[in-house]
Amino acid sequence: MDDEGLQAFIDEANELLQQMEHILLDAENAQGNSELLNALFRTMHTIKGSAGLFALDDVVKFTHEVENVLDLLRNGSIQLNEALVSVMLRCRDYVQSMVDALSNAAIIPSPEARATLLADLQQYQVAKTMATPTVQAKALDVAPLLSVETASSWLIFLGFGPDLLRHGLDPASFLRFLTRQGQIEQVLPLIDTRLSTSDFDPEQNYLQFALRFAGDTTAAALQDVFEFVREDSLILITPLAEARDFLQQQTEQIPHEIWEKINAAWVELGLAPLPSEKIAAVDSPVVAHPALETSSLAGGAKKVKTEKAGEATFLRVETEKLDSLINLVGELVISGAAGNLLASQNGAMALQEWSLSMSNLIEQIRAGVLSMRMAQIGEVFQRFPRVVRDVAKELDKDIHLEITGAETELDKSMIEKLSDPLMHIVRNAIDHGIESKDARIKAGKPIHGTVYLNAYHESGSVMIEVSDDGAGLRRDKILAKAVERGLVSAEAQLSEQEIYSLIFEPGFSTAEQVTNLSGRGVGMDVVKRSIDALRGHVMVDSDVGVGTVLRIRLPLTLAIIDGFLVRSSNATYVVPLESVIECIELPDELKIDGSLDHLNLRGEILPLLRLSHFLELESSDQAIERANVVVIRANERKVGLVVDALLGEFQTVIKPLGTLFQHLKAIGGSTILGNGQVALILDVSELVQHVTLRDAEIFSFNHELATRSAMHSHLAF
Amino acid sequence: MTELILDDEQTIYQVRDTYLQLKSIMNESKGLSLSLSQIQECDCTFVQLLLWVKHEAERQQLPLQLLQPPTALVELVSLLGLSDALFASNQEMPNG
Repeated sequence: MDDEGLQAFIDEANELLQQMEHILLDAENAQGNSELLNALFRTMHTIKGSAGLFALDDVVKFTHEVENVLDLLRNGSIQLNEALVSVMLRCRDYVQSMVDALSNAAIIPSPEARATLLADLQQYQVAKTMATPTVQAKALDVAPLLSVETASSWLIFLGFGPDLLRHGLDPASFLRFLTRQGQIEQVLPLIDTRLSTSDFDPEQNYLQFALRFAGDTTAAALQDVFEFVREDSLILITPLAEARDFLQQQTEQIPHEIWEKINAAWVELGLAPLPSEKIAAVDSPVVAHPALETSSLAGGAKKVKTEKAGEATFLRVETEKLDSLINLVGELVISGAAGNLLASQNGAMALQEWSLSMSNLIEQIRAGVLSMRMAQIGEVFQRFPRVVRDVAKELDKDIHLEITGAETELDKSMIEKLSDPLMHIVRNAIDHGIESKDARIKAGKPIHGTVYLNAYHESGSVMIEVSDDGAGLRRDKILAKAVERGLVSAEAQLSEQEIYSLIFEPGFSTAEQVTNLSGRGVGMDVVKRSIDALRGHVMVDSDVGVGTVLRIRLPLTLAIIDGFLVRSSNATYVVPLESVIECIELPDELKIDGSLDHLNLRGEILPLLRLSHFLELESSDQAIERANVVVIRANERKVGLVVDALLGEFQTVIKPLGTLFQHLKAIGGSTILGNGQVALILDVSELVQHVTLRDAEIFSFNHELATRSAMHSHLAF
Repeated sequence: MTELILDDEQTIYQVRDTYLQLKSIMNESKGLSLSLSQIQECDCTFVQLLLWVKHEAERQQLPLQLLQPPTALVELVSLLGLSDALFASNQEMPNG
């Protein structure tokens, strides 16, 4: 079997299954929305079609049953109620297990689950057959009547729907396939009259065909050829000998004008005309023209321009290819900068103009290529409605999930690694954060709890928030448990944040259910570790009785940011522009690197961080003369970064640091400047945190000193 | 008479662009000569487009030439039973 093709099938199936889940979870919206119901139907239909190509008979058979029920659903024969959503979600899971089994031999789809689901699906189909059958121009399956009888001469009508081409199917391929089973003796193309109107849409199908076909085969075998187009096409197949009776039986099911068209075409192909038609047929030119013009299937036109809801088009590209492209673009940028330099040295105006337009193009290519590497966090978020639904049901809680900022972009590789920790946090919030229904009523809260997922960009980082309106964290209980576990000493004076961060300590989470984040076997320490591995931070905020917010701050590795270039001791650094508030000159009295590390910024105390000192760079006296302060902000705190020179804005491509330098917290990444030089990108939140800690130490030390001297003076008296 | 040589690939992926190109030529010029010789890959959308071009040329009473259709196109058109409709009254006979 073609491995690449199979992998493409697996990927496609996974996407379709995700889409199916998405639609099902929004059942209220889907009910009555024909576009969504059609999209739902197409998910299974497409999987079935593709599975057929790989002879995955199990998948084809099962999805066929699901598809039948979905067909009833979109016809309006049955309603999408809670029970059907559950059955469909279980069917989805079963198909997922079959798809997973293709790449992982350890997964064996449960035969019991299959039997149960098939029985459930059967019920819906039985229920439908009891209802009034819908009379529609749709596939008429005559196979059961004729499948065992072989015949050699056939009449076929291929009433392909208008969307056939858009679904990636070509009428010619069906005709070619037919020629493998026999010989097409005559073909009558029936061209939709709308082809010659001003509404012509080149991607719409206007071709239908009537065929006379010779081959020793069965109706069932011929029907199989058109298995994948039956949903929106009218396919009629009958032995020539029985064609008249067959067509007469269809008068009820097929709209009259289409019936007339088929009849006329088949008479042209050798069907005995109706007695009343015999004379007319001789005179009538209706079928005499080889390209008989006709109108399309009733109702087909309505679908023409409607975009399929819930479907997105993507091109799958190997990550490696993209990475090497990004690297090449990086090289191109550098080489482009060298070209610019040469052009300006050369002085020829035409050359300079060319070089300028070339730089613009390179810039656009760079932006375009880099944005390809980015993905929306919605990819992860969209898995949560299902998790929330399932966990809430399991725990008998009523929980809403609200998602905002799903369009926030970050590096694709990070998105994949975020999935598990986020899943854990969300499960915890539902499990332990949100109270039981009774407790919520007692607390005077709405009976349904809410979990919020939010993402946004802030100061060159991505923030992800998971919050709930549950019971909140009890600081006293966390502290007591931590003391009991020996994680902190009983005398320790901890800040609010420090207490909350105890829940991330290994060994804490195995405690009994004292906080809303405990339990579930795997601890929050694993979450913390995963986030640390992404060089991110987790922060917790909570109000007893109101809820808990868990914030994850992640760096934007390999992203494009607008950077602000500064120089300190002959080296260039990049500060993310988002976190720069203003730049001021360093007042004279502060120029000497001394203990005065604070600045009065319009009445506000601004702690200073001397970059060259902090990074232990060799400072030059000359630099101090021109020192500037870049006021940066992170986490609502401001810090003044003292640098030697301000070099202006620069669009920065963040390249992650090698593993050797990953522990360097103050450096967020590196970038290559236009002249080929490497510049380090400063991690603003780390710098701010460093200054905060430094000041806290100084003040507590000063405070201690002050207390001691006060005590001494008391003693002296 | 505007002459246009169509590119090697004429499938559903290119058909909209080709259509827009042909439409604008037919609205502006006094005739169209389409060279099909470069085409290596085509599908039913292209055959439909040719049918449309023929209709449109008749409607606007523009002279139309479909030149040197390659074997692949001739076979496709014949499979669809459209040889008469497309090439019968054509000035140029298929070369394949």
